[in-house]
Amino acid sequence: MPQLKGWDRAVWAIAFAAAAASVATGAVVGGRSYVVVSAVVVLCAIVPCFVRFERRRPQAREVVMLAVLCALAVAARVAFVWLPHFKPMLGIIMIAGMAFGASPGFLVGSLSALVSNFIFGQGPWTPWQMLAYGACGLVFGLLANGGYVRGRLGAGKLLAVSIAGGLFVVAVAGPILDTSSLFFMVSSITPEAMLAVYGAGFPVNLMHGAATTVTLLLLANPLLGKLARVKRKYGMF
Amino acid sequence: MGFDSYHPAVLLAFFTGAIVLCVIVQQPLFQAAGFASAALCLICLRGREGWKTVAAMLAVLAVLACLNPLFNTGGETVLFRYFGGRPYTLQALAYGASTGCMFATVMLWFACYNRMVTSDKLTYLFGGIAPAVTLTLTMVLRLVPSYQRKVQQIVQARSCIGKSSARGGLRQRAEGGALTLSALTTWALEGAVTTADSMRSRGYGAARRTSFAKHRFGARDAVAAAVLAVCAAVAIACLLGGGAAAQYIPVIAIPPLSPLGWAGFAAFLCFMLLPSAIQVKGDLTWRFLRSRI
Repeated sequence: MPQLKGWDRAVWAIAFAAAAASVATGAVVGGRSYVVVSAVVVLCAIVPCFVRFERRRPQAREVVMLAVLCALAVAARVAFVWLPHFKPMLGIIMIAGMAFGASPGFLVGSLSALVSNFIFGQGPWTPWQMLAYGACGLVFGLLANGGYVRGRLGAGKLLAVSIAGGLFVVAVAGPILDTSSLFFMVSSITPEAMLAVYGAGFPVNLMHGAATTVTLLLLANPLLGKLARVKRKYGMF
Repeated sequence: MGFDSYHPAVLLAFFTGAIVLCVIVQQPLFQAAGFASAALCLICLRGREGWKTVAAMLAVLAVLACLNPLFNTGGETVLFRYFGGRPYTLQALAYGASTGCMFATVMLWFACYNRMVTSDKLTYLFGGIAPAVTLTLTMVLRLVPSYQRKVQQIVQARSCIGKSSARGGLRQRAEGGALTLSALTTWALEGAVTTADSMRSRGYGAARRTSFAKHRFGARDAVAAAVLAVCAAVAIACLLGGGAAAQYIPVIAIPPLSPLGWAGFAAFLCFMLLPSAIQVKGDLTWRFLRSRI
């Protein structure tokens, strides 16, 4: 839709300008204002995706499908309560991205993060978590946009996607979350401090990544098949 | 009537302002006032539980303070050396305490925020600006508990046919969990289509959505908003004008407060204490009225 493209570009331009302005303000104010600036920049990256969704005036089916996917991602933990620290949420967000594409994938990820924080408590990490989880949906949605994933996956592809999911959590999503601790808890951002923060986050990210790989291995095919069926049956997205 | 009964916009403005101001300010007097106000607000809200959180945050503050000199070796006064000469300095310790205080204060404000700004207030506030996202959020908040209940039902049904989630090897149980989620997904997707069709036939998207508005922006909200705005403006002017300057590294240099600094401090304190003051006033009125009956 061409008339949306102009809007989209304008929104992103405003977001970039706002991010740049906040960085400039932070540079003038100095001190610890970079903590606030970092959160503002992260929000500037998230908000345009939501604006695009609003501007599209989504159909009831899209809204409901998005809500269902988010709720599944958040509620999935209950099916694995007996396994401590096993978080299937990111795996399900990635599956949602692979089924519906990059843009809905991002929304599922960031809304799931927001909702799970409504349950467990909001904190300074909320925007970062929305960005990190949204990125999971976005990047795996790109696989669908590029035509790499259509419906169920073959054995080789399933293994590749599952391992990629785990690696993405360890290498990208986890470190984005650790960056929020870096900004909020560390006084002086020196190489040693960065090493300490990312190093302390590594085992946690490794477990989260392993959980994501297992979730993708177990659930990617059944869920992708079901989502593809619903899409075909009811003509969604 | 506590601060949480005020209009959601006032609440959100307060928490945004309080967190931003407490992050930016580096002057120890301001920081201590910010921490004390946040702690007081939480204790007003939660009583005994609040004390526990405050104590935990004080411990976090101490740990963060002690850790900072390990990563930052700037500062003139060396307290001791370790690892063959790496200095542990007083100034880095003080700056660590300052950052720890910032972190603890922000965490306490968020603890208050989580008690006061509930999800329904947020969806009320953003329902007009972002109706689709807000509706999605509202639906997710309702679906999550319902899916959690459904998972319990599926797990129980599976255990009736000998596939309990408590039995079998790790692999078997993990596959059982995946099957449960898969069953939940099927049920959820069919339900989603029904819901969507039902929404469409009831005219979703035909007109502007109205919301269950139980919040009215009244006179007291306007007064509170005005007080917050004036206090924030004075405090920000003081911060930008260098009235609350403080330097920790390489030497600790905290000039005594100028008249501008004191004005800023008064405004800062007034801003931060507003919710606690409203809470205490409400409690006193309640006690007074009750004692007259």
